[in-house]
Amino acid sequence: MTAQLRIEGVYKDFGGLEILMGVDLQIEPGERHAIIGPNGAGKTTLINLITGKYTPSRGRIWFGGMEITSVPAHGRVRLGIGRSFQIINLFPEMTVFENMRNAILSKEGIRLSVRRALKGLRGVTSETERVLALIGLESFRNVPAAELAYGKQRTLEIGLALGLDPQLLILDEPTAGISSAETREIAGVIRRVTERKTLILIEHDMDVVFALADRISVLHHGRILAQGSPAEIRENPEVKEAYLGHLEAVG
Amino acid sequence: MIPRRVFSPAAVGIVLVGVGLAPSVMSTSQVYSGTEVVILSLFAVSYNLLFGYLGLLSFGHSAYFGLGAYATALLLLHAPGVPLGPAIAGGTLAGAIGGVLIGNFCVRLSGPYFAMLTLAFGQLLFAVAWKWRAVTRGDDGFGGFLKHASLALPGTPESGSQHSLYYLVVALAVPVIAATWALMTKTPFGNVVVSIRQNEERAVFLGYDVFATKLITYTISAGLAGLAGSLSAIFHDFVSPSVIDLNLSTDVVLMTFIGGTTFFFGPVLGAVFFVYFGDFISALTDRWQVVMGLIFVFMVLYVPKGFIGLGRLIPSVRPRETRPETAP
Amino acid sequence: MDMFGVGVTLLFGILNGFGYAMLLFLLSSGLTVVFGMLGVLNIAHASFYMLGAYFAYSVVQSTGSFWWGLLAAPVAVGVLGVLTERTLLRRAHRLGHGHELLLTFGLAYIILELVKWIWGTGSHPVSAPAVLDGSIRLVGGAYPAYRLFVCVFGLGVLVGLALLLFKTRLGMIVRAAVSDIDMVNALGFNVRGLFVGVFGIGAFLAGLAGVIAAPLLSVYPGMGPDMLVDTFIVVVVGGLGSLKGALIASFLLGGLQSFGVVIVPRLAMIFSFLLMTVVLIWRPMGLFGERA
Repeated sequence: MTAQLRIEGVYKDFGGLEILMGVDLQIEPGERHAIIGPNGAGKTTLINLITGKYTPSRGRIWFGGMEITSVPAHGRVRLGIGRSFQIINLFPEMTVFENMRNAILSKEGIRLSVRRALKGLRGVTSETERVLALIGLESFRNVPAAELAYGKQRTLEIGLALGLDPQLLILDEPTAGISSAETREIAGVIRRVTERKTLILIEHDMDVVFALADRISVLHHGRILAQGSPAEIRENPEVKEAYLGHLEAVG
Repeated sequence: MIPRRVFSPAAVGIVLVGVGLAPSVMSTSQVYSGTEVVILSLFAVSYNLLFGYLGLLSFGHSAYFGLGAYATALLLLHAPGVPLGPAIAGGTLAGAIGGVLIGNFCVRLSGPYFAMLTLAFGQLLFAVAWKWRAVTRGDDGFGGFLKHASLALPGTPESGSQHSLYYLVVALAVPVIAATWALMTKTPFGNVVVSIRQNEERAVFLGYDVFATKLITYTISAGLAGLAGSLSAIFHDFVSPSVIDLNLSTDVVLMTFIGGTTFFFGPVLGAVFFVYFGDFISALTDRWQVVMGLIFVFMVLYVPKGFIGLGRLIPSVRPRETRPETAP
Repeated sequence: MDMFGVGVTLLFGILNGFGYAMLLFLLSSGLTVVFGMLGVLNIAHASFYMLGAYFAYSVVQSTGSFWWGLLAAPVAVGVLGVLTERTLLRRAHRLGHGHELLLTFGLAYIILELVKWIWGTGSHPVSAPAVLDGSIRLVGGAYPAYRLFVCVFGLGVLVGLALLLFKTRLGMIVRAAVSDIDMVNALGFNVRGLFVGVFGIGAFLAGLAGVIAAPLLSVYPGMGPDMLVDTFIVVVVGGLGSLKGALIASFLLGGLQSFGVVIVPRLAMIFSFLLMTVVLIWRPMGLFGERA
């Protein structure tokens, strides 16, 4: 079986500063994979390489058997890689509905079309409303994104990636900056809507990680330190030393 | 954000009938400045596709106005008997081709880099018009090409008269402005342009090709500027480097900003103001540009959204206030 | 032409290019430092250059001495620069970079129209001082003394500027502010106060360039926009915010202009555009720039 995503020997440096130093990673279809590691380990950089925001200094990336190392970011989205951002990244003056419609239009391949008015695209409207209902934002339909409460912005942030219905969904710290009650709610939404999808999750909240992930990779100083099931990672002494122990000591 | 408000059909009808009947009650000189307003409106609307919609400040937009003007003038001069229609289409196409070639470099950049590169390309084309005397006759310019044309364009009864030129310009510019309005405010394409302006990165990661969208918008903008230039050449029956110079590029920044960039028809308001208020103060002082410049600077500091921004102060005009925008 | 003649032509070409490079650097250094510090692209920078030339013209007219013009005009322009920063730019700064750009654009527009109003739209000759009016015998050819003066004077200003930037505490702070203004701010320096000074000195240097350009190019309303384009090409090629880049690009452009005129007299500017286009494709942030 072809891996959903395969990363081979990926390096990334910024002006001499090496962030990633030879990362290999393989993710199977349907797998829910969490990437954890202390701040500065290179997690977000890795996501940016997978999604095409940056190109690697060295190494290659395949998606479903196709090499995508030099495919531009928007092209990777069209191949089926959807992502959310650690820092809220919405269309601030557009309503919740308009934000989501941008994702749905792209999913339907209606991008630079001029043939029909936006309002006349009934299928797009109903699909937009369906996804909004799925993530529980239907009652905020006409609120501009910038005026939403932070937790709801967070939900929409994840929702936009879900709206693309990607084969591979990448969530960069989906619970960053929200309360523990909201975290449970959002983790529930993620669990519900990502059934049978391939998921890459970056997350600091270990409860969320252990609740959602089938497999975990620990990134440390730009390398994969350990990889395995949640139970294996929990028991791995190296990981405890490098990461979990540190967290427990702090937390 | 560019508001998408609904126009009542009655209001549109009244404006159209007014524009159509206006010449019958106006003096020849009023018809003249009316035509000028319509041409500049089209030019300013084209400019605002970059300034207001993409948030890109260009200092070289007269390049496309000039390409359109020279292309139409040269076509009429060197291909005697060519009907006006193809000559105007040629001018529009010249603007669009210039736009796709130059835009290919410019739209990769933003902010001050975009401003500088557009200025440089604009000045380059100006230098060509100025120095390539064999074709453009340099700063003398050339005219009288209209008499070579076969004026068989529907709706222009006694061609060459001020009135028929007005109707020719209106008949082409008004539907084109309306179509551009529909394109930018009603279609998925316009929606993508607005989305990119609001958050380019998110648009990319929803699968939108930002470069292609910007280049297409730039090309449309250049084509519309080419059409405006083409109409201007026919209207004056004369072209000179003033159709491609820095003055014209700066004028369009002024009128577009003064009118308001956040609303599709703001630039039309700016063009109207520029021509009529310009006429008004030039009757008082011959350095009316100084006054215009002072108004511009005042508005940059105190009315950053242009005349349209003043309208926003009235709550009923726009139900919800948008967040302060990041300036272009 | 014999080998010796070619050598003389070449030398004169180099000197012409050097003189123009000095003018370009006087302008681009101020523009690039202001951009580096606050991210403001000052469209009105070349207007300061133009005002320097016009002020000098008027001073020379009334006093009959070029030297008075060289002394007074740059100072007047520098003061004008400080006033501009204090009153208008400071206010626009709060509205964001887009509005700062628009404001300096509006200023350039007003200055240009005022110049046309006060001095007319024609061009005015400014004669070089009597002592520099003739030619100097240089390796067997005759080279205009004033052009040689421009080279020497420009080099003097360049050295002075280098000493100011690299040998004084103030220069060190300015360089630090160009590379990371937030850090300098955090260290407790009055960045805004520093910026007024830098903006004023930038305007002064631009005015100075205008004065020494006046006898070479004469004084006309288009001189600002003409110079603006070349200055922009210099900072784009060198990299916005980089002094080293501005210096090297000034020499590149000076050389291209000087020899381009010999090769294709009418379209020498094509070379500058080719240079800029190549650099922008190959390195969008310029030769020494760090951001694009």
